[in-house]
Amino acid sequence: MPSTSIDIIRASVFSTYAWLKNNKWLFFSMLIWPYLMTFLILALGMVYGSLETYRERLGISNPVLYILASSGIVMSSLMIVDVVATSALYHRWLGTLPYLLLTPTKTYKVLILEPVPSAILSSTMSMLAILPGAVFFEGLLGAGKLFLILLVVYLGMLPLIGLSVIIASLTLVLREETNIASFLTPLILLLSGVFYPIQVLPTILQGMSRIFPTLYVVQAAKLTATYTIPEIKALLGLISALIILTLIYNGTASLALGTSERMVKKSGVI
Amino acid sequence: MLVNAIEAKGLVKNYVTWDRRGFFKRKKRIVKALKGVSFNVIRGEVFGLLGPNGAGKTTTVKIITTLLLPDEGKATVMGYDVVSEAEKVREVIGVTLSVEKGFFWKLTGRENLKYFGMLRGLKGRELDRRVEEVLELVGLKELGASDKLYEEYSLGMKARLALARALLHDPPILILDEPTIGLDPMSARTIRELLVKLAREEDKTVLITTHNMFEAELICDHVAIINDGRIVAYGTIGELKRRAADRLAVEMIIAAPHTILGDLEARISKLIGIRELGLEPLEEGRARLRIVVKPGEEEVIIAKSIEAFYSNGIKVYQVRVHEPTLEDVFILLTKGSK
Amino acid sequence: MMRNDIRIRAIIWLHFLRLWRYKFSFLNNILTTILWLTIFVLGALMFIPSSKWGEMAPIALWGIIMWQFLSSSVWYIGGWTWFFISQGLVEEHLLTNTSPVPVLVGRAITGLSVTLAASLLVALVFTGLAGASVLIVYNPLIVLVGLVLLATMTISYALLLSAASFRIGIPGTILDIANFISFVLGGLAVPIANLPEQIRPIALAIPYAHPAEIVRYGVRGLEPYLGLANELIISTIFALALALSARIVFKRTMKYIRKHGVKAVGRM
Repeated sequence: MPSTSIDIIRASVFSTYAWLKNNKWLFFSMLIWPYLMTFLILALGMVYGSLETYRERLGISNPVLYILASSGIVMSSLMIVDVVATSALYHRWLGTLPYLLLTPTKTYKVLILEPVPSAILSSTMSMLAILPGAVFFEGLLGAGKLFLILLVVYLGMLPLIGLSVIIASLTLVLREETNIASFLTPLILLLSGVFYPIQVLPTILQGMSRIFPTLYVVQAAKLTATYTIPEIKALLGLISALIILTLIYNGTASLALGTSERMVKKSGVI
Repeated sequence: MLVNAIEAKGLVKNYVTWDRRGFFKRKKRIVKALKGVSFNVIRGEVFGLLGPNGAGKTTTVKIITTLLLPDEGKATVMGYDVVSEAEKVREVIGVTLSVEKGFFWKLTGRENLKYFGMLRGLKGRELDRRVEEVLELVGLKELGASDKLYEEYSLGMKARLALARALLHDPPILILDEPTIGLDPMSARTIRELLVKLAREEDKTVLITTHNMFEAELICDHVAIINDGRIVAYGTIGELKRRAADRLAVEMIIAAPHTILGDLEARISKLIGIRELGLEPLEEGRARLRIVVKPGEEEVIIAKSIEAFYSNGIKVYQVRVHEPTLEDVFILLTKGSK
Repeated sequence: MMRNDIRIRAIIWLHFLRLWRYKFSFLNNILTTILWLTIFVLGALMFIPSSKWGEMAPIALWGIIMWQFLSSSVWYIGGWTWFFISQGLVEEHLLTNTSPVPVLVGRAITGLSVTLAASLLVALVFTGLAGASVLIVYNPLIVLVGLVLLATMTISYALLLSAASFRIGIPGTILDIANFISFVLGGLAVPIANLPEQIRPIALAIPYAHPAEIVRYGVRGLEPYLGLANELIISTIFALALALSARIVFKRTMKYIRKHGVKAVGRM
């Protein structure tokens, strides 16, 4: 009987649970990360300059909450790209890749769905971690804003998964010790202007940033953190951009995966 | 001159492990890996340490190779104590601990050997000469694999490279933990022949661990069988076989469709009243029946069996009686182990 | 003695060879480092008025270079330990009477190469932002002395982590937290004198703060918090103490693994 998508996700949820159970520190560390980043940026910035300058430059009402939310977005994007893009590589190290590929269903389904529960969990954890911070600064409204950002993060996850699968396809073909495309994660984040307005980047980089989903997620977060009630029209625009990117990236990903699967099977680097 | 190259006396080793029970619970457990292991390896012989998985073979090897300290007991290699004279012991042994790891992936076979040779103090022309010699000896040159990256090696090549590293500094003693595990018959044979040659022609002492009885019968002068942390038998292959001299194996090829095998085994047991028997399915609806009997009993058992089979409509095609093999001895001695 | 020379040559050869063979990973690591640094630095620069960028840029750059010394030691030495253990390479080195320590220290070659390349490229970014070269230093010799002392400390620290990872699992986040704390509170990012009064005792207690003060003196001529001579003495004492601790702890760890066996527990 062929495996269904639910079978793959169920198995993956179980393995994620078992892994976290046996690596508790990792579980707790996910909660600490956004605060760590916020601390780093704030401490550095305030030692070098002032919070007021930051507020003026970015034109936001609550810089601390904004940095916290941005850190959450950085972490969740990082987790998605990292988990999905390195999943195939990780399975190759473990020697479990051939068995994953032997699952009686289409290969792209396995490679896309298998890392998804872990990616969703990691992203949700990163965003939920900043809940106390959001509530501290803006009470229930802060929690509401965070929920809104979380929804956009989930939406942003769809094109990111496609993008990550393209990276995974590349790394599968090459024999390297680590994910040699890991520079793409900070590149995407750099171009998305997580902690600064993208206007500080050269024009060409600003143009490039439009093809990465994180830009729209960051902008949505910025809108939410800037206004008491975010502008719905602006948000809808960003959501539309994310939907278009989802279609483009996932379409390309399925093609890339097919090609890399053929190449990998031909060269036998599994 | 020392008669024994390796001497182990009363080796005891316990490990602490943790069983995970639930999200936060875990329970400490002491695993008694060795419970007083003693044996000697005579100079210039091939010695086999046999045992099922988890019997304590690798722990014993690690103690003898100085990588692990015994909790109790003593072991010497060429007269050097493995605890207090570890560095001297390491000078006189060549070791393979695993046939599939222990090398740098992105270095070629030759480069890996060169590196480990340098760590052993070899240099310049001497290093190059030894590297070439051992590559030649283990057949990697012939396979054209000397300059391939380790990550591109087959398991057979990896095993050969591991043996080459063990031979690099020309040690008088080789200690090899399952050197042919997982290898194809050709590679396994090459390694076995090489080990015998090294012992016979170059007077090297070889200690191997294995659970391949065929291999042990072929190359070992003495063997020790370890089970559940204890040596349960020691001697030459002939001596060990005599341990099972009160047993003979009667083998019969009978007509028995696969579907009835489970039921048939119970029925045969009942019909002929034999305790140790096994049924193995063969092609074309046949099966091999193996009955362990005492010498002198075989004729009666065969007659009884044939009569019982015919009366039940089961044809008998072939009957054969043979002496116990090392495998029979091994199974006899390690029966009931985990 | 002769044999140790050959061993050291072998280890250096090994690490350069691996660096070359993993060239894509090497380039990727440089690029990743630069990009992450740029993200944080751009974030931090938003707190400073543009008119002050020229003044702050060299201090920020050298702070980052020093932080790279720390984090690359931790990751390239400490983080590699798991691979080294899991591939059975600890045993293989012990069997040749070679301690794992010099092999692990040799990973500094990879770490320093990435640090050097990434620092030079980040310096170019900073030069662009500040409008003047940020690599021109006041006293190169003092900078070098400071960096050598810092490298001794960070390598020793990485070895302590590495030794620990033979026995316990060390989550990577904990190391990152320690690195970040050292960066901000440990006086790597800014001169101790610029830190809030209450935090200064913490910075003084963190060993890296002292070579950092020496480096800053060499770069900009900024008077070290406790004076150059005192900082040199204190840094040397800290560096020796850390190196000695690493030696003692590793010796104990080797005894431990001989008793309990080598197990790959320390994934970071």
